[in-house]
Amino acid sequence: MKTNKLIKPILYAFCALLSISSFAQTISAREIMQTVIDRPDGNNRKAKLTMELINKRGSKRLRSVLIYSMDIDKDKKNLMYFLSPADVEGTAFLTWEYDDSNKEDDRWLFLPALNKTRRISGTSAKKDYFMGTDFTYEDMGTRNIDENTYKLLENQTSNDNLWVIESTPTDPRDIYSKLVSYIDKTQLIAHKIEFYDKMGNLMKTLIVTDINKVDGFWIAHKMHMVNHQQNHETILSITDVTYNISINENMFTVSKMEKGIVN
Amino acid sequence: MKICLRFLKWKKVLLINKHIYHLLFFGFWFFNSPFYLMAQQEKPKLDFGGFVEGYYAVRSSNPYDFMNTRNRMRGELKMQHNNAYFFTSFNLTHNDAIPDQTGFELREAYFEYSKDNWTATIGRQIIVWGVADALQITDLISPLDFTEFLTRDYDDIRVPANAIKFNYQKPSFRLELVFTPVPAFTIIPHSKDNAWSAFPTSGYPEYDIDLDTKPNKTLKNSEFVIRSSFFLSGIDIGLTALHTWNKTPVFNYTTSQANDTIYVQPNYHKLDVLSTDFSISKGSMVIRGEFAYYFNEIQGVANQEKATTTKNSLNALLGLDWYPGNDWNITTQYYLKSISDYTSDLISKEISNLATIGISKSILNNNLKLSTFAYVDLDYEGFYDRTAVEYSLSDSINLFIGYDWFKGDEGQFSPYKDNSEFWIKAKYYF
Repeated sequence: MKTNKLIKPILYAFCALLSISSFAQTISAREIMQTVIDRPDGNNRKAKLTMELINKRGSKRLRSVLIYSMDIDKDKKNLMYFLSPADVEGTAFLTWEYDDSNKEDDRWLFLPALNKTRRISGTSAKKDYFMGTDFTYEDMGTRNIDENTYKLLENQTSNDNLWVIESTPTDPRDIYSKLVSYIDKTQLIAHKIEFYDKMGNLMKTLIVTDINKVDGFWIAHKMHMVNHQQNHETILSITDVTYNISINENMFTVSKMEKGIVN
Repeated sequence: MKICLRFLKWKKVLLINKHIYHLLFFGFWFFNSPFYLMAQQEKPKLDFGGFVEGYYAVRSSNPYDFMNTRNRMRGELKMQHNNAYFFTSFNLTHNDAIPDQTGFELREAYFEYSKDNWTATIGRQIIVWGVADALQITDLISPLDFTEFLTRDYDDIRVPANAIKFNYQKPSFRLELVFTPVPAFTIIPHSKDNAWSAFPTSGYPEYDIDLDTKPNKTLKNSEFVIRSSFFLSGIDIGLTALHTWNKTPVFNYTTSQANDTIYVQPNYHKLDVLSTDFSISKGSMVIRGEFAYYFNEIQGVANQEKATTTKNSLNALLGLDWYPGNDWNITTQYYLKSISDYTSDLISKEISNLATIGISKSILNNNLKLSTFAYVDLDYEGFYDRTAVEYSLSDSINLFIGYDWFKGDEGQFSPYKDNSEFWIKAKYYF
């Protein structure tokens, strides 16, 4: 029994590798991205995100949040508690993200200063920068597969274990003209993403490091986003990651958001 | 005089001790409660935080006097053990401009127990709901503290209520039941050294104001609320029934025989409210609405022996939030009150209108926030606008500068038309 438990994940991983490598012969860019989106990451998960904001003078600010997330079929529910800085501690953000691109996400914001929850726009905030970092709300979430068109590029690196995919947003109002992602074929995680502005100039570069497995799932622990146009950067560290924790859908309610957490 | 001062000093000490006693009692009760003992197997979590602030406001017209000099420490203590939670917050304030604000104030102190989908909360708590911003249509349990009129942050303005609250939540549905044994009422300033006094502080005749007369603390005078909320795709809907009171009294005025004093007497009356509210998200907009029907709302009557009467009234609010992106946020609201079976002797207008507008924009990676928020009295062309700049100097220090602008010869903002002020604030979070 014990042996089976140990061997099973290895067998699965081996089969997955085989299927990916043979799949890669004929796979389209869209199929790769779908595989990346579908990358196994448990039914639910919890993590702490610490963001170090560095401006052009080198001065630093810290932001941290605790995130709970749960998959419900193809939809996703997220609950985010703001831990620091102190003036936003207790603020919480609840989102119900729908896979159906025709359906707007539901979003609520709890402001402890007002002791009140308000529904906020399901679309526009996606383009805003999250807590003053170089990540937009959308950068931190999952984009629907239909929100971009995809093109598989020649591998511009010496690393054959990477796919290079160009994603072009279908919405002309998007702040990016294209994204170029360097995706690891085994981990199904982008090691690097280049973000281009509407003029086609390089706007931001994301470098992803410290990738390892937690509870059997690949996860990147460090993301370094450099905004070339604003001379600003953000180092996002992901810690205290746990998967398949004992929570249910009732965790992702307005009441839970208002209740907050004692950190 | 000396005796008087000494008495006041002792009264303050006793008041502080009373609050500390309540805190100690809560703590003692909590740690000896079965909930705590049940939760012993997990390590308790404790968090103490808060802020220290200095706030100074000076009148922008003659005599350029200080309207406010508030130095304050806010403490917040949170304790959690499994399903049990305790929260308390308090203020320690020194205020030269409004001396009766100096001292200790217990804001909230409540115990909460959660299990599966329900939560029970008992104690002194601020209860807020509805979708209206800075206006109270159905959000009537925690009234307002007008000690500094509306110039304080909105979280400071709400008066906590001693209440028992029961909350049952499913992913798309919430039921709330609230019982308030002794209701809280609006705090109305009337001291002579407060520029925000609701009554004339100088001139002849003098005012003799009685604000201590409140409804008796009996079970039949308690408040009850039942509220259900539905959180659906693209829309939230709330339905509320309240058995409450008019939180802001209706005053009647009588003059002494010598005509040298005006006696002011508050009047309260029970109030039943049925209401619905909604919030709809569509693209970059959120449309909000609140509609409440007040049954037997007390109304002031002019020139009569009987100073008050009761009427039903409709209270409606429509709001629009626009999130155009780039950290812009624009909100606007329109509020209408219509009194049924109107008679010409009522002090209030048959239909009254108020609007609010708010605009905010964050720049410099959210370190600088510019904002303005205005109440506009559409009946008397008066307004109150607060414009502010907030700069985050570090992760724990925020600096503010702003201007409060009052205008109006009649209506609710006219008493403060000479109170426009510049203000600065520094806040350190710990």
